[in-house]
Amino acid sequence: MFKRCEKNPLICPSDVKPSTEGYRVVGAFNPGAVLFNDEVILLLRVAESCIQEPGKVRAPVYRFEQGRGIPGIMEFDENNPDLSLKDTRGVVYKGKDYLSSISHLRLARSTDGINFTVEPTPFICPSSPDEEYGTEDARIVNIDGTFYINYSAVSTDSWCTALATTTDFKDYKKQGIIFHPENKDISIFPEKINKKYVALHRPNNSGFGKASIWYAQSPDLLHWGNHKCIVRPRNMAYESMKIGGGSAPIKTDAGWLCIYHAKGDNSRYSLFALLLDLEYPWKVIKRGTTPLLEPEYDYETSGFFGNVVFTNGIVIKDGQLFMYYGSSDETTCLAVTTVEKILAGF
Amino acid sequence: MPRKKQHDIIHRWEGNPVITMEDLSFQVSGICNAGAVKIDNIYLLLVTIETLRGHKKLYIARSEDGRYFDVDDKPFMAQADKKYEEIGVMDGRITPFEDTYYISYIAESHYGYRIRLAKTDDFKTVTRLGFVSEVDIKGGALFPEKINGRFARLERPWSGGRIWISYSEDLVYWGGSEVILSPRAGYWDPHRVGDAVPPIRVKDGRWLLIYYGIKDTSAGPLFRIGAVFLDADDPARVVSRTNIPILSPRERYERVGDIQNLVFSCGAILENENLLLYYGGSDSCICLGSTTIDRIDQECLKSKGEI
Repeated sequence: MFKRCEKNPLICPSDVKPSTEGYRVVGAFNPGAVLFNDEVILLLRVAESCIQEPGKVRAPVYRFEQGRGIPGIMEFDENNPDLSLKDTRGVVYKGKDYLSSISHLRLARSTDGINFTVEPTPFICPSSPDEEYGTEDARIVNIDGTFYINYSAVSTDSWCTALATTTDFKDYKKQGIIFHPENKDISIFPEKINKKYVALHRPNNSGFGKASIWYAQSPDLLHWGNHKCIVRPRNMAYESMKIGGGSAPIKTDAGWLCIYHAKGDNSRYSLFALLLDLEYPWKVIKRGTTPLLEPEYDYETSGFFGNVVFTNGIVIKDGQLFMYYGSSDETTCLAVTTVEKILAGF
Repeated sequence: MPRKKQHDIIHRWEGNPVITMEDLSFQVSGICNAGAVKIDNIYLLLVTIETLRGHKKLYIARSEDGRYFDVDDKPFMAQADKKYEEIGVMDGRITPFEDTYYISYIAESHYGYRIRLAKTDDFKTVTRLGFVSEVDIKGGALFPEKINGRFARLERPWSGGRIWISYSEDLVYWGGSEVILSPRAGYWDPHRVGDAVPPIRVKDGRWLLIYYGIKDTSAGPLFRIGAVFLDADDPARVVSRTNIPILSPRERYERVGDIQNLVFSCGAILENENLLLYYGGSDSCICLGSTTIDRIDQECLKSKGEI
């Protein structure tokens, strides 16, 4: 179905300059994607940890002053009795969590969709305690010339989803939180349907089964309501843990085409197709029974978190569907197909 | 009266509990958490009752003196939505709003907890409005007036255990969400907080918010009640907060029940300066406590700006 790009992975952590002295880039993955002025723009999730030194434990940390986030380093003595190692994701010091890596969002540009130049500095960074543990997994949608970027804002409350807007990918404006914790994987549709903006979202429902894809409407992209649960994980190995939406849905004659991720047995991620009704997008018309893409290649099966393929950035370029995806929570890859092929494969 | 009771911020009614399972004409498995309002000299509670089968429903209880209540035989609100209210409806909070009353309640289903709104003019018939929250969210107290032209509500997403505020033009689409109150490490409310009673405007314009705070212990959670005042013009801003609970489980009916060591309120009635707080004890009965706005204010002052 998909043909992987021979140059995969297109972007590796080593291609990205750290945002701060003492940081090192450990991931450049899960990019949002959009076409802008004949370029493919990617908004990468860049995960950074600290350069370590023997006997010390260093963790990245942001402090906030006047609406700005300032990256820094917390350094602990390895033998400090107040320090406890949580797991590979971080340490706990005097009851407070410090993550081993924090993500920001970084632009990369390309004219051919394959060879990218990664900007030397971050685009969207944590700027408030709501984003203390990072900004992650951007999704970009172009609505009438304004680019709406939604991203996971990670904090001590786990994660919620915030919105930012830009028209030029030079400046942006943060618009605040649009979905409460814990809610992410927001796919905003590229146009209004029945006079309302529409999005898919993925709230957690602790204690009540597996996290599912929900539908919501909005008059202004800032206030959301009419939530309903529309797609639940199926009883299959691929979807045994949870599912969540990806890039902005693509309008086709047959319906809204979505590619969503499924987390299955052994935390393995794969990608499936979903077709929603054009006029009533909470109605599922078709749903793929076999994955469009699953971890097969080395760069997909091993890495920071192996056996993950995850997409939140798709563009239609020269009649082809370019799906950018994160591999193993570490690199950015590309696979190409056409809308027609996916529709024929349901 | 034992001397320590003179220090109580909220005075328990000597006849507590106000309503127990034995006061009902039918068998139930539990009774708890009541919204409260006074209409034409009748005290009205919207009580959460769990049926023997395990479904939760809202029943009306009425009283002429606020102490002795008669509970209706039939529920006022039961499951109406097969999908999102399958397990039940609970924790009805009543907000008087202009000429009507809004009821925000928790709908429980296999999809999780959500806040839903309903509206009534007379507590005889009720109109259900939409589900207003995402899933995994409790609380849901609606403010009794618009804030800068918009409806406002409080809520407590499970994750993070903080109280958030959100706004809406139409009670359907909600946004502008931000955190207003967080748990405090090292205090009595270190692990989770949540909105309890819908905010009440006090004389000088500030909003009184009675909230609950949870401390997880090795024997399970302790549910206690605290208070904050919110800014008159911008209720997203906390101006003062009690640094001790105003009510903690102490009596046997608050200590022993379906959920032990729990006091939890969804409703209060302000009569002149007197605040009547109706609260659930150990998830098994409804109780009454009283205090004054001044007394809560004094406790907030003692906390010297610790919020």
